[in-house]
Amino acid sequence: MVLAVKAVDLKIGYMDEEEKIYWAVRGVSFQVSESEIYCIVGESGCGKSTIGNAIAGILPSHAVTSGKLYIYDKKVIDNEKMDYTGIRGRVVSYIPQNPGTSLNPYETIEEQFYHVLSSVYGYDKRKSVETARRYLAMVELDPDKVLDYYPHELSGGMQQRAAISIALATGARIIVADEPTSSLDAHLRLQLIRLMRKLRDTVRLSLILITHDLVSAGRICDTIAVMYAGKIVEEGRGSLLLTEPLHPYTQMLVDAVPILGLKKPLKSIPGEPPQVGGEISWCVFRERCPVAFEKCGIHPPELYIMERKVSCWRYMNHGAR
Amino acid sequence: MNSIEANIRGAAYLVRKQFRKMRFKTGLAIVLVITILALLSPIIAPFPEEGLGYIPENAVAKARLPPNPVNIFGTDTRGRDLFSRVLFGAGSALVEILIVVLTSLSIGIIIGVSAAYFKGVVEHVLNYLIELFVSVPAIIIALALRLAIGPGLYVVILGLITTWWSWYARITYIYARSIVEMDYVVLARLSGLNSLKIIYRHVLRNTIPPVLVQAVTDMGSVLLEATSINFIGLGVPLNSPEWGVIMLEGLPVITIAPWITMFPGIFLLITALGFSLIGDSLREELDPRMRRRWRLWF
Repeated sequence: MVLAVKAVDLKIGYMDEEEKIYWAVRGVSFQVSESEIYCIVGESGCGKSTIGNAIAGILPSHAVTSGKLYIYDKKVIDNEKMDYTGIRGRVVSYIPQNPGTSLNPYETIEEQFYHVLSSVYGYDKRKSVETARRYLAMVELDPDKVLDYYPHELSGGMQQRAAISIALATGARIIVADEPTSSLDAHLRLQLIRLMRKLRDTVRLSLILITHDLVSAGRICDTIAVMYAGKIVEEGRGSLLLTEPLHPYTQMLVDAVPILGLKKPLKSIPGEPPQVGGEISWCVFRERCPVAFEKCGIHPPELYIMERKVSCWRYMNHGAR
Repeated sequence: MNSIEANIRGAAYLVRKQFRKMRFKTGLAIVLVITILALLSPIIAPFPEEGLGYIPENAVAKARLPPNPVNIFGTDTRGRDLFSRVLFGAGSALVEILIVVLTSLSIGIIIGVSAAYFKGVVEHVLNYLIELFVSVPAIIIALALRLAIGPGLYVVILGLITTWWSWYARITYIYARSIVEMDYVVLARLSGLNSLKIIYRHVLRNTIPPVLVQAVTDMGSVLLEATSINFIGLGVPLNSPEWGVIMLEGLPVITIAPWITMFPGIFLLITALGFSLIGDSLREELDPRMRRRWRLWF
């Protein structure tokens, strides 16, 4: 099994104008193997997009990093140093959250393909059109029509799929998708999920999916990582993690998902996540945790239990290693 | 009563709609006619020398003749054929417009895009510069130039460019600022693409169309302002064929020879109107959400 992405105690923060650092990701370690669909879920502001940006190599210039991040054999983040040469756009590609602002409104889809392919591989016009046709067909868009269209002539779902096919056309082995289903209808979401699974099976693509949507995540992911306040609190096989959540936060998150047709009272998670900011030495979920006890004043280690990783003291004496 | 009112409203609506359809064509026709007249003025004008400022021998006898078959617009106070002078005036009007608008547009776009793209100190300094020049009136600059170097077309042109570029810089900055925040620019920058390439491909392409439309609409205002600088005697020498100067010469005798001020005034009005009509209809046409197939050449 080849590892596509490997993070070791990765920390990412943003520096403000007074050089104060706000940590968005507070030390995470994870591995994504080749042709795996890896989901990162969590509420807004928990650092999941930051991890996605770090893998895709599009962290802004005021980001501060620590720890290590490997993409295949290359060490792209080595403490403060970042080096994405030969990785960004070639090995890793990025599907943006909002296709409306990521496609230039004054260029046809054909030109957008051409610009990406010519700057990454130096393709000429004819070759880029050929490639574009192949990848547009893959996302079930009609190349004869769509190539001449401007982005505003496509619907939101079509824009999203066009953006996906541009990302795929680079021949990237790893795709980072930042909430690709957030602006889509339920049936388009299903279509996209099928497409991603198909791509995983046919091109052996590794997919890192960042999402709010637990239901789709459960349907398509091999592995789900639940993030809270910059930490991964639980990680495990997709279906199992959602049916039998272990960490209190995951349990509450799963409880909060409405189920269609079932009249269960909707539960929210009381309280607010901690502010992005300085170091936290205690368990990040302590303030909102219904079952917190004294030991939670120290941050729990990653425990391996039932084929998954959980960061919670409660499982210390339950056969966890 | 009500139906009559409705009929009138309906008729007014139809007229307005028809007029809106005609705007672009009317504007283009006006500008084309004026351009052709300006280019062919040495051929069309019945008295080309008089048009350029030469005073005829029997000036006193020919002075202030009302419109007649020989001088269709009449003659001015020095006996020159007014039609020839107004025709030659079209040439200098177009020269002023083109030089002023093209130069200030280029300066403005470069400064505005740089301010938006390079952020930080560059943005602050350029913005102060823009604000400074927006607040200076063109006439003051023209007055200073006139006193320092003497009369000439360049007084008008330089005076106007000094202030006009700042308006284009400001508009460009406002548009470019929002484009620079778009994902396709942010991501292109982060992935280390050449700045010039990004500016050309993404920022300029999205910024130029609205600014260009503004520039076309402004051409009428440039003409009006240039003419008014000439009208108060700050610009070109008094004998030159220029609408503002002709009107200035006709001003003292406006009660006895109104045609001297009237004809250049009418030409001025129509030309300014032509540019405004084109600009106005382009504004709707160039909006990327309103148009379907409209390719620009950059």
